[in-house]
Amino acid sequence: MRALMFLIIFVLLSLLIAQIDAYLFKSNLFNQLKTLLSIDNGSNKWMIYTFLLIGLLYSVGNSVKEKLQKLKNIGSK
Amino acid sequence: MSSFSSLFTRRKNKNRGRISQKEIYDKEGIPKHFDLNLEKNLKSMQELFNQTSDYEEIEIKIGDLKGCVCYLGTTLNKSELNTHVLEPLRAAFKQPKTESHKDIDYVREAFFPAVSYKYGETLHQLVWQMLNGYAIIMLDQHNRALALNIGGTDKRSIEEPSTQTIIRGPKEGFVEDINTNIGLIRKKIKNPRLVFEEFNVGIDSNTQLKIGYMKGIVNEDILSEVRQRISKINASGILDTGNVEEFISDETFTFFPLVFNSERPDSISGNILEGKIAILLDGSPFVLIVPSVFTDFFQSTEDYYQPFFMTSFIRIIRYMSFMITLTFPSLYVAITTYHHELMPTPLLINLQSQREGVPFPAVIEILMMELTFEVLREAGVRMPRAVGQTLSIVGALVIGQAAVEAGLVSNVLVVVVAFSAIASFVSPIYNFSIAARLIRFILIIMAASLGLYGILLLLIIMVIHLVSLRSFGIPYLTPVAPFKMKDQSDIFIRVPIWGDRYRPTYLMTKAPVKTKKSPPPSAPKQDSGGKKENE
Amino acid sequence: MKQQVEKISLWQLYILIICFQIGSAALVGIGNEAKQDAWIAVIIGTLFGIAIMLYYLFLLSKVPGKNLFELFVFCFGKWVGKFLTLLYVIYFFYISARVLRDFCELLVSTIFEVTPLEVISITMMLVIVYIFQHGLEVLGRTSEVFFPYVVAFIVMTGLGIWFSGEFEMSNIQPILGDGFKPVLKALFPTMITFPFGEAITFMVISAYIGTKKNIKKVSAVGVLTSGILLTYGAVIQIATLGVDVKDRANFPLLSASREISLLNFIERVDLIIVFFVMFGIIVKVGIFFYGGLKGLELITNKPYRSMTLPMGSLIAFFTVVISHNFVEHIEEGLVFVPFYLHIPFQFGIPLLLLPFILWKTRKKQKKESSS
Repeated sequence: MRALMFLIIFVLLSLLIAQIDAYLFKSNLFNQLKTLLSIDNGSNKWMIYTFLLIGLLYSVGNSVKEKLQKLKNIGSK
Repeated sequence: MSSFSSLFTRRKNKNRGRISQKEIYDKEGIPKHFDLNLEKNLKSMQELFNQTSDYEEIEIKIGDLKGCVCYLGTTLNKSELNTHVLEPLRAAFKQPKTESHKDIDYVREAFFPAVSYKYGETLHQLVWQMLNGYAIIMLDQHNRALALNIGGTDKRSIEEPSTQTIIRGPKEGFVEDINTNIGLIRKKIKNPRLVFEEFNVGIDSNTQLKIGYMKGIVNEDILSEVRQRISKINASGILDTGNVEEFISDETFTFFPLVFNSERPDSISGNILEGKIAILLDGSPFVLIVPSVFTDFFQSTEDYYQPFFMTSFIRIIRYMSFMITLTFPSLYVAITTYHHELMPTPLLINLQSQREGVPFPAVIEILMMELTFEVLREAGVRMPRAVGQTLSIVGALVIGQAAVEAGLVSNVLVVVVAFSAIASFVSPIYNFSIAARLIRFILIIMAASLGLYGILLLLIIMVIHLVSLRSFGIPYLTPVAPFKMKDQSDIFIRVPIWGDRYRPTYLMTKAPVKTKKSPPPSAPKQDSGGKKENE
Repeated sequence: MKQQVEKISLWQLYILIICFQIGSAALVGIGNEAKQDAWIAVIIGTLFGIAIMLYYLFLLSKVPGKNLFELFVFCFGKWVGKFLTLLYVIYFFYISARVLRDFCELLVSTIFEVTPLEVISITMMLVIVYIFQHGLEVLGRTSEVFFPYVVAFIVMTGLGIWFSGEFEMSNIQPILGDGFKPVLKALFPTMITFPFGEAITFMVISAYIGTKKNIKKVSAVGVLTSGILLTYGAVIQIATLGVDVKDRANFPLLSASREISLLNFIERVDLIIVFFVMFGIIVKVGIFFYGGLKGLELITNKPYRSMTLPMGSLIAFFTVVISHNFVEHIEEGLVFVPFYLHIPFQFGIPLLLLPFILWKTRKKQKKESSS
């Protein structure tokens, strides 16, 4: 559930920002979305992508742990 | 016989380190009485003590009765034993035989009238009493034994505490014997409401632990929490209150001590009167105080004996020196590496000229010096006294002159490191300076990587950590955050003692008001003629 | 041990409001359209801010104990409420990414010229995630610890500039030389939405205050105090720099503090200013972050503490991605954000809430009076 929310928020926020950029630069949404998410050469975007990955793994790990606990609870009952 | 030793092994599972004289049951839950036959009892006692060499028996005869005095020679004072027990028994031997000698109560009243005693009915009880310095008198065909309290082995005499010294104030310090310590506290607080409760900790060491508090002032919830945590202590041996501290702290993964300790009776008594709980351990001269918050570690009892202006100033200096010891080395690193513009230009030029010949970057310099200082400090504590003097001179030379002249470190660095090291000892409690020392290292590394921004980030993280700590449910940074106006009278400044009327509110004591309101002391009034009114 | 539910005290609420409003406003420079009357705009904006805050608290007081998102569910039903909550979550996260971007730009342009923005964004988010792992009261208590120093520093900056002799009161004159129109232009829509309209996040926090008795008074006084501090900041900026420089400078307070030169010893203290603003930013980003987390908690029915790190990493990501450079960031903030984001979310939807709340609570009152 958490990983799902994570992805939903990610998608929605990216769309919002891309839309704002599109409005400002008077180009279309898709181009802006591409620019947003790309990792150019020499930039340091890989750092935040790594951090994002850590966040994603954490939320996935948490969801998995919770599911396992629920299964254990149901199993023990 | 084997069932008696199995009594001991089962105790480990059942009582988890806490045995008291009231809980001596065997597997069916019935206390094991000893036999009526004297020989059998003596044999089982020897078995229980595993034929230790200090177990001694003296056979006696009272009238017609055969009996035996058993004791552990090393737990009691032999001359006392002689006077109180053996002399009367020798007199008893010469007396004619009477019927009334058959009763152990009569024996006790006749021959040992002035000695404190207990009766023992099970072998387990008797073993326990012998370990505590009692002499057991067992008579044949009796199902009770008499245990006389002799006690009184050597102990250290009361002397000045070695770790927490003050200029003005009482110079007595606690010793290892718990009864002497309680006596010292009772000398300061002469009040029947001062209560001491006894516990037994340590599965194998069975050390005596007592908690002391003022009934009617202390908060009962905190008290029951303390009792609960002590009963959960689960260790093989508890040898010092430091061990107890680790068990009862709210959180162990923190640099900061959550329990206050002191070697001075006036400090402990002051805290008990404020509504806190003291924990004493037999064999340790350090007494714990719970619950404690951050500001407790910056208070020394001398603060209350000196004039309040002076102590307010010194308190502020203490807090400032804590900050200095934390941040001074890391500020040095950050400023010389990243933020040159923060220093006034003449100083900057000076600094750079001194660092000309030094091959290392500021970070490595500082880490080297700090590590050297830590090694020196630790060695200074462990060194035997004979060697100590010479080596301290060598240490000063090594760090001070030679390293600078060899070009390994710069002069400014020595000043920085030495000053921050000295500043770390301003906190009266030793535990606390350890926290500052450790955090200082982390701060240096953060300063080297992210400069002033890194230092501030780490300070914020440290404050967040402090703010989330709790000591027995009380937030650690009370009364700074959450801010309690009433408690401000004793933190950074100290109000004079006639103005200090309230106990700390965060302790939720039952008696929050200490004294009634009275005007501050003043000189007797004189009328205009200059004559003093004596009223 | 006694389990503490998250509660902050009234004093902590007061401090949070002040640190929040000052957070980025003292730094970026507000009321620029009014030129030398910016301080008048701030004063009037404060009054509006108090009114806005009281309106939000009024909405909350009708349905006690609920935060903003529960209010949505209460008024509009489960699904519409959850949809609105999702929109607000997006809004709060976007604003927190914006504020954090402001601060990162500040650090990168003044101090750490070579450090990549990402490093600052990640480290700040790590601290904020750490705060919320422990809960809201930790934020309250931490700000209690730092608050005196932050305020003292802002005040001392002004005094320092004054003692350095850089104050030119003639820069403030002529007062209202162009009439009231520039002031009004500054107020709507920028001043009302930033920083005073952002009080909507306090609708999420107000539900977690220990004593509910004096919330309205304390919040109003908090907004008033922050308004006074902001006016003070605006006066300093105008008097020291003059109108033109203030208009063009990216960070006027910083530029003003560069003028401090005391005793030939204390110079270039803008560095220290940055670090006291840093704390205000942490509070501001933290509160927006918390608002978003609480919304997520409502949607997913899971405690928010498990979601701090993932959402933190999201915000760090979007801080960098939001714009390519500072100019674009400012342009977005002036052109797009107030009209399309702030006004609907801060005013549109809360105004829409009003009739629904009145209607529903009147029904309840009728039920109670009839039963």
